[in-house]
Amino acid sequence: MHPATLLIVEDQAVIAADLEYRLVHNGYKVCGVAASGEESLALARQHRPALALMDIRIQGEMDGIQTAEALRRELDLPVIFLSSHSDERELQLNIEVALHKHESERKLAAAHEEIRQLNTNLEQHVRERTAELEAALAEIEGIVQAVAHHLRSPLRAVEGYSHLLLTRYAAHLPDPASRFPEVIGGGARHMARLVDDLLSFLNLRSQALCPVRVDIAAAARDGLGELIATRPGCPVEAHVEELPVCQADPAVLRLLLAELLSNALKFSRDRRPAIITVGVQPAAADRTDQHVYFVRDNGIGFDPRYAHKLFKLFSQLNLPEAYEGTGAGLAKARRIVERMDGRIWAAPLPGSGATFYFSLPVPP
Amino acid sequence: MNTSAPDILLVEDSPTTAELFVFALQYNKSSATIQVVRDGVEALDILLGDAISPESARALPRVILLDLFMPRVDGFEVLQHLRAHERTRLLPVVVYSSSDQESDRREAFRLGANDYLYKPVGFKDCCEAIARLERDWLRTPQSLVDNAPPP
Repeated sequence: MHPATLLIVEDQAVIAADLEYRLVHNGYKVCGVAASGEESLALARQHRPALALMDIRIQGEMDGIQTAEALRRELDLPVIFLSSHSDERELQLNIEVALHKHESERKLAAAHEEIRQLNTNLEQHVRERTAELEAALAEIEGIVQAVAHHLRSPLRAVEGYSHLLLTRYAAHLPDPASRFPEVIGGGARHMARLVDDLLSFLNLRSQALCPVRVDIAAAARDGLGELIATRPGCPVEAHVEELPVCQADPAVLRLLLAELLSNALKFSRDRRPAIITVGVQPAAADRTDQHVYFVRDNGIGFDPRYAHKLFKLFSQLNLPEAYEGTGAGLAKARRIVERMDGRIWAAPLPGSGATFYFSLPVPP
Repeated sequence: MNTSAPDILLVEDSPTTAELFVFALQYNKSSATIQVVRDGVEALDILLGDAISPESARALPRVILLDLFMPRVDGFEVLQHLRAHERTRLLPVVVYSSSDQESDRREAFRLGANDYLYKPVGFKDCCEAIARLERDWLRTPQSLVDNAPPP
């Protein structure tokens, strides 16, 4: 290890000489002795020592404190102030500690700078990568949309010709075969519904949102009214509690409520009556920026083991023949809520039925 | 009255869709006459191509059913051409497309379509759509005259 170079700033010559002797004796190099603040600056600039040992009471315009400030500011030079009774070992210890501390601080500052640089680079890379992924996703969705759209024409052919077969030639078909055209047609019609649902699901992503203050209770009442009107003969008890306003795109909110309400109604259609409630959870202390609303029904509920499948596209927990639909409704609801920065989840009710919770922002 | 023009000119590139359309007319017990062309080029040829002299000019169909997405010249282009020519400026054109995109609907009306009908997949739904189309576009004073009781 090469010896550190020190600068002595001491105006009393005898003390300075003694100090110099002791330092050299301990293996340090001394680049010079300055008798004043100004002289110490000059010597420090010239020789670039690692440390300065300074008597606090030195002659000249600049006192010890000011000199130390100047040396630190201009040359990043650490300074130890000497008292007249510095024990030998204590002095050496102080010097080593000061040098070591200075070196550590320098390394720490360098490390911080490197981290800051890496963070900036990282953020830039993340931005670029996110843009690439979004472009790829948009391209894939575009392809899916095009394929789905093109399926309609051949589906029309399958459905149409099987219908003609059924209505014109069913009598000519041997017994098991006479129901085949209806099965073919049914398959085509189901595929057409899947295509419709897929296309409207993809549209949810690309639609522009215009969030405003919305009276969600009024929207829920309208939605329930429309839904009940489409199912005459199905007794429904609808409750819409007092709900705080939310911030949402009104058209998209209507779609969300329509999906959740029709879901509730569908799975409680065998109840006499079906009971549907739209309400709000009491506000959580830590989340004052959102409201958590819910749609509750007294229907068949669901097995909580399969809760994670509820909101997947085309996933159904019931047997497909038992209930109409393609399993796209809850996936659409989820997509809508997530586009509005909310969350959606569900819990089965102990008796039977289910509660679907969703969070929406509070208006600013 | 020039009887050589069909009631409906169907511009449709899919042969199965076109054939099913004809079956639908039969199913509806419709008396409308129909001509089918396979793309925009043929459509423009028939409607605008040979208007050299008034005598040789073919009479126009009573309504055009126009598909949108066809090879060579698409429905939007056909619409533009039809509205740009005096001869076909006021000819009823109904877009009959399997696209349910709002943007396509808006563009069709912007270019001068009289109506936009979504082409269903199910055969029975197609029959209903076509029956409505006939009611809206092919019931004319002429047919009322034809059906009037004898004096």
